[in-house]
Amino acid sequence: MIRRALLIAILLFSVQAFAGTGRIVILNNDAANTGLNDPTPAAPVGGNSGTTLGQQRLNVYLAAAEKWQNVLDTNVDIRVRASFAPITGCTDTEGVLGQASPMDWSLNFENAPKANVWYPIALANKFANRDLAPTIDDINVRFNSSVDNATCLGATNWYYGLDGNHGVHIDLFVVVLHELGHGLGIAGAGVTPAFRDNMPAIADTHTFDVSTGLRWDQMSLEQRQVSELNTGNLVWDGENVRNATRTFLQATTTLSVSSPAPIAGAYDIGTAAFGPEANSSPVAGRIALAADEMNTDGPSNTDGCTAFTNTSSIAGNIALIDRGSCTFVTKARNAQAAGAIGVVIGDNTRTTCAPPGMGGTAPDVTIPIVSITQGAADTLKTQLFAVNGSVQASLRTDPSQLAGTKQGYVRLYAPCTFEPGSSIRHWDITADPDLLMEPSISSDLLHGLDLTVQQLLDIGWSLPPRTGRRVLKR
Amino acid sequence: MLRSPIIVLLLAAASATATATAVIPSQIDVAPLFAEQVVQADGTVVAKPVSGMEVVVARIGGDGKPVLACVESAEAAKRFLEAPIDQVARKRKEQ
Repeated sequence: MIRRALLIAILLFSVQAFAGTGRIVILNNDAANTGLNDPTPAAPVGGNSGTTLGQQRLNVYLAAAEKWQNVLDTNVDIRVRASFAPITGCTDTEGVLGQASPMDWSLNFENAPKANVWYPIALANKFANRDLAPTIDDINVRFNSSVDNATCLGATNWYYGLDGNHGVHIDLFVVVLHELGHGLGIAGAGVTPAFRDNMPAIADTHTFDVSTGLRWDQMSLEQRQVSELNTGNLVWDGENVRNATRTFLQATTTLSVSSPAPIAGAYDIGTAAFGPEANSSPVAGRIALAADEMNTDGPSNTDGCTAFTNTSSIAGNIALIDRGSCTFVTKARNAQAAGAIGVVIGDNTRTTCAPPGMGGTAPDVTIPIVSITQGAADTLKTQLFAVNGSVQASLRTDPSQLAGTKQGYVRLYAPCTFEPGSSIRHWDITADPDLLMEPSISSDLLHGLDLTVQQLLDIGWSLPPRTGRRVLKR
Repeated sequence: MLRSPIIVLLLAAASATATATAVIPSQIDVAPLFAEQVVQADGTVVAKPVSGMEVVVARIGGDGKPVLACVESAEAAKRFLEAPIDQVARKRKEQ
């Protein structure tokens, strides 16, 4: 009971149980007059009726806990050790907002669905139908109270309302929902990509690399080290998520190559700030590699920086142009002047994970312009340089291709080493609309649980009988 | 539905090459958040990694709005905190 001795003050709150007998219990771990007990007066805001900072913070915890409890069924209380305290390290422009983790992990317990697989303690308790570690809380969540000070992130503060009207501030409710999702099991038991005691966590058993056809629990550590950087190819293979993708994700625009067969498929694109959107102006035709003079405007004959010299090949087709030496606008204008019906810019570096977005202003550009990775561009060029080589493609919104998916699976966030911020325990940022468990916890989230519910079902949680499917709507 | 409005520090220079990657040293050491201090039998204290820890870090973007990242390692946090701000803002457009 050392843990209890360390608690300066514990106030126990719980939200009403909706099914089973289990509740999500918020354990206030803060000392008197601090954090969740801060007596500083505060005006009620956005549906949060608290009249002190501490009450408002606690109310947000409770509201988030209730949201999760409404969709999860367990007979064992889920104990959340909650805190709101200063976290060292915050400046005007950067800081730590908070942290969360399961407090413990268990494997090979009674009724464990899979042998030699780590389960977060809250989920293990559910399967065992008893508290396997009664002296240990289940989830640890702590947020940085310094964010409310002017010295931490400047004028940006926590927003304690429950209505999403956070403006330029940080919506605590969404961040708590997100972090509780990790505590409930969207997490690894070891230091990713390593396994704890060489055994996978339950989430690892649904982490699937479509390019190798292997799940993480089927890989060696060396294979996982490669896989976690395999942008676009690391996915979640659980059936519940897969069956719900169309409910939560919308169709996306791709460069769709129809022939030749060996390179056919949907290629990810980056979009431009100018020109028509590809989904509003779909085009189809042959891809033709741009040719222009090598000169001071552009040293390559495929950079499209000056007037094209192969207009007969470009006219009526989609121009493929290398990135570099001049602006995207210049390239688009030269392609349009040559009669192209669309433009594909091939990136000029392999150090980026995804096709770049393209800036610029050009009201005169009336053909769609998109970008692809250098790897994708090289694939197309290899075909174009072949004897009698030809590539047929279209730029359009494909109803069968949902944003943030690969082969029908939802992608996990696996940025290459050069992309800032990383965690495969999140959905990929190409998902559209934004999802709760994306790493950026976007400011436009609507307080829904979206695919996180299905993800939790995939690792073994179940819906309360009364809840059914109705609550799963965004 | 619109994606995050947290965007866009358009680079004025027409570099037209891959994004510059100047490192801006972060003043924040997040490593302790991924470890717990464990007192060993001989009294020494060692840092033991915490399983499944996720840490949320934030930066203020060029538009004055916060940009968040939930990361599971100190290395990932460091990359987020030290990258040019226009690279961590979503939906950025390059020149």
